[in-house]
Amino acid sequence: MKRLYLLPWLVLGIAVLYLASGFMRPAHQSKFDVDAFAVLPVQNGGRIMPMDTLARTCLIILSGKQTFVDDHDMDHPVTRPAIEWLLDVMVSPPDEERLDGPAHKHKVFRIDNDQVLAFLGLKARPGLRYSFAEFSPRMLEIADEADRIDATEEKNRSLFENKLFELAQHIRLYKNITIWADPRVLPPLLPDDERWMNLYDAKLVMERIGRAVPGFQQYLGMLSAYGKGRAGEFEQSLVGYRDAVKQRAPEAFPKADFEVLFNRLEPFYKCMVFCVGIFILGCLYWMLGYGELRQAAFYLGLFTFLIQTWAIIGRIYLMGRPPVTNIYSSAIFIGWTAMGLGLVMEAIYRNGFAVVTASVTGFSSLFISHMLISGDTMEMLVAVLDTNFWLATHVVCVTFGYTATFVAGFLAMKFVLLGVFTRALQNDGIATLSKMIYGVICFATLLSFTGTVLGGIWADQSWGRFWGWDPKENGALLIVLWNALILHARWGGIVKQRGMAVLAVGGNIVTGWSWFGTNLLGIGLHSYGFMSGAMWALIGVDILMLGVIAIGALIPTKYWASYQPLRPSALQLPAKPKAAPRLKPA
Amino acid sequence: MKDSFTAKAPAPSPPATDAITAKAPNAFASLPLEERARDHRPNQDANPVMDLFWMGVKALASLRLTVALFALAIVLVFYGTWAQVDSGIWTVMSKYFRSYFVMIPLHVVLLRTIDPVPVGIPFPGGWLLGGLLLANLIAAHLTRFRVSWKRSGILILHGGLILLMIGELVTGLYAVEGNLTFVLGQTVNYIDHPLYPELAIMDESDPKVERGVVVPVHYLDPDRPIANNELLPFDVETNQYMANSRMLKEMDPAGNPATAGVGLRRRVRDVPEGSGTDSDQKIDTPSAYITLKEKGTGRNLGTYLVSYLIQEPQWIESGGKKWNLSLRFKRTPCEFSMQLLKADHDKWPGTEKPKNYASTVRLVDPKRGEDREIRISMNSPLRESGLTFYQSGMQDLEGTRLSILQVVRNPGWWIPYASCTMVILGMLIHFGLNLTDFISRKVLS
Repeated sequence: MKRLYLLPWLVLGIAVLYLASGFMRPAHQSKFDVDAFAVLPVQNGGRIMPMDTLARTCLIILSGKQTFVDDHDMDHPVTRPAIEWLLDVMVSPPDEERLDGPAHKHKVFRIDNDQVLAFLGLKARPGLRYSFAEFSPRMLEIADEADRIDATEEKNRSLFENKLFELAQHIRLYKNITIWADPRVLPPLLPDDERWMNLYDAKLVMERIGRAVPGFQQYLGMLSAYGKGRAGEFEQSLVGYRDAVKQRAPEAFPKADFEVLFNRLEPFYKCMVFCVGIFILGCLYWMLGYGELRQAAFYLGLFTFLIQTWAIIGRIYLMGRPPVTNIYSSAIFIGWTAMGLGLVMEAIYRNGFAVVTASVTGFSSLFISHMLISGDTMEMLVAVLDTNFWLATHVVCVTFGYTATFVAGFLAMKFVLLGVFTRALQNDGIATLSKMIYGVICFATLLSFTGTVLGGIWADQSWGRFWGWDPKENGALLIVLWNALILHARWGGIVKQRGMAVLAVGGNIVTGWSWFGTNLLGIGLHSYGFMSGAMWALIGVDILMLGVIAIGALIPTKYWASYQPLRPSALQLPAKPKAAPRLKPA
Repeated sequence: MKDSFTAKAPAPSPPATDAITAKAPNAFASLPLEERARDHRPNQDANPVMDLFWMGVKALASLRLTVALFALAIVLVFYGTWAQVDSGIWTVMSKYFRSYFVMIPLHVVLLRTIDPVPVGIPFPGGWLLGGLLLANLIAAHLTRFRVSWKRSGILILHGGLILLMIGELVTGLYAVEGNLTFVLGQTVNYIDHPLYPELAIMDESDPKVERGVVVPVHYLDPDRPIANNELLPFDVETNQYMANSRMLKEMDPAGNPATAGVGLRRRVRDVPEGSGTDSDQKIDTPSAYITLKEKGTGRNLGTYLVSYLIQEPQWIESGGKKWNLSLRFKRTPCEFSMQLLKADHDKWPGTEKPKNYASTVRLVDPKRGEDREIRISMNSPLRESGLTFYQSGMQDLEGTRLSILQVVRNPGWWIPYASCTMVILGMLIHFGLNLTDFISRKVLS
């Protein structure tokens, strides 16, 4: 096993290669220069974004994916990127009578409700994705039904009504692109105007001022060339259009370039994969005992943390906002801070517990964030949230508090599961892990209290009520109370190591409730909208936690494998681990 | 790490009790240092009343009680959140958090998995739990804690918590909230209190002075008509009172309770009161159908619809006077007046998403000779003569725009700031001391 010292570097090398794979060309190649098209800045949803983001966002809203399958050629379906779908939509005729547009046959509308499918006269098929051409004969009925639903109060809508209304909105989004109402592609002519023009606005302006808006003709030329399949002409018009936009909005380009790079790299998705790697390496270390495995896990953790840091800074640069602005960004922020906290603890304890916990917490929150993507993740903020100061202080602090409580909870899960079923915690494992849990809970109490208080101050500053007992505030208060309860129970000797771990697992339930449960209450358990999936996920996680709590609380320690006295043979069984490399001088 | 702040064993050992009565000096000598320190405090003379008092204090100081109270508070806050699916935030606040006991409905306890049934489970309310926690904390400091550097963090932290609870008490007792609602150009010199609707019967013959009677809506009870009240120009019988209502888009004459006034042309329907979990926190708009009868004769003057949703006046003649009948919110007159000059409602370019609300108002205070223009926007309120004005909402009406300012007077507004600073400071000191302790030991080993 002499060669094992190379392992950490090998792992790092693989990670770098995997990250760089975002730059690889897809197997399918368009004859058009779609890359140049992808970086063009446009205005959509109130912000400047590249065409690439627009395409991905729209496709995610419609189909839940960032690519689509083009089965035009039945025998050889190809997976194509979102940007090509967007181009196809832009050159497809807007009216339902003419279904010869290339995009109308792409199966990108996800319809998962059987009543809606029946209403449209469609049959359920694998993937549940349908093309515009398939349901366009029923367009009038859809519109009538949507008008009727629009008049009903949101609370009283049935599942079918919600789903059909959602489909109608998706169709509107799609049609807005075909009629060129969206996106806004030409920068404003007046310097203090923030609103970009779409082609209609531009036409009105041209009629009023009596001369051409620069870029207008070139943009049309570009689309027409794409529709006719002339790659050379497309490129030529594109360059002309790009130069015209660049003259009036040069500042939009660097950000658009960066955002496309960001989209291609998919840093958070890849970090999720890295977390799996860390977890496997950490578990192998416990089983086999080679220090190099722990080192590899630690290095991979550092690399993941680095990528996460870069990506979060990237988002701050793109949005001009503090890192947490919506529930998606709170999830990636929790992933990042969990990784950071885990690495710090790993550097102190060097036993593999912290880094594996960080990978589990990190993976879970990144996975949640991945599931939460339902449109633009860098959307503009509603008026009351439009304050960078409070976003940077209160929101960041509360999210830190969530992270710490989760990390304590996951460490405690490990305490219970490893303690009951394995001998991994024999020797001083129980004491060490217990200390770690205790320390993190102290940290969590401080952060969640501070965060909650900062929220109160924000509320007092913006509507004169420090504390209003509203669901979100109550959720934050529950975390503080729960952590305070654990600490006081421990100080009072009411619980010891095992009891504290069991309570800390409960912290996961409390934090999950505060993070998601209160939001679910808001849109009511009356509505069965898209969040109902999240509700079932939350209930599932809670049941899992309760299971761990039951194991930890009900099985007396004399039956815990890790509480068994050390057998002489057990001391020799695992191959003697090599001394783990010291990360700091002893 | 070994807890440097481990509390003493919760149950007092018999020698310790003896030590308080100062009859067993030997036992006293055998106590740990800290126990000894605190047992100096009670007087050394045997006084059975004081003994009993200190025993009570010691029982109250138990950490087990702290943990139990935390657990109860967690349950209360949790169900106080669930209750907001059904009821408005103010109802829940007064029932759950500003009360001694609360009856939690069974369907709330079971997280709404069953339909509402008239069964509830009694539970301690916010005042009670908060009060007990406060007592527990103070008792703990009287008996258990010794002033020392190591404990300084905890002392500051707990001091802050005591102040925080007092602050919530002050807010609960003395804070007043209201609304100032005006359309463009309108000048207003009163504040509305949406939580307190009232029936106003006004004699408006003199445009300068408002003269009349207001009846708080809790008197509008269908079972208890208001008869022969000397303040009222006529008797009032309530047909129906609706705490929250909507105007019907189209008039439906069938079964209309109204026989006179605006009610002949407009009709409202009862809707549930706004819940604390609604995404749009709108105020409840009450309405009522009332029947007026001439005093003494009992002659029917007609059944009227009165509603917050009706702005136009309704005139009733009785006793030689013309009275204007309306249902409005309780008003507090102000010494100053405010005129809405401009109402900005910015949206993000190309979307319907609100970016900012701002009201430009002219504030005139003749007493102080003030007359100036002010801009109030989201997250930047106006503080003026003990009141604070916050931009709360904005609505586009036909041809004009309505701005709603939230107005708050809270004498205890500064308490949370001071107390939370103390708590955070206390935690930093306490956990910081532990951390340095831990790190130094880690380095040593």
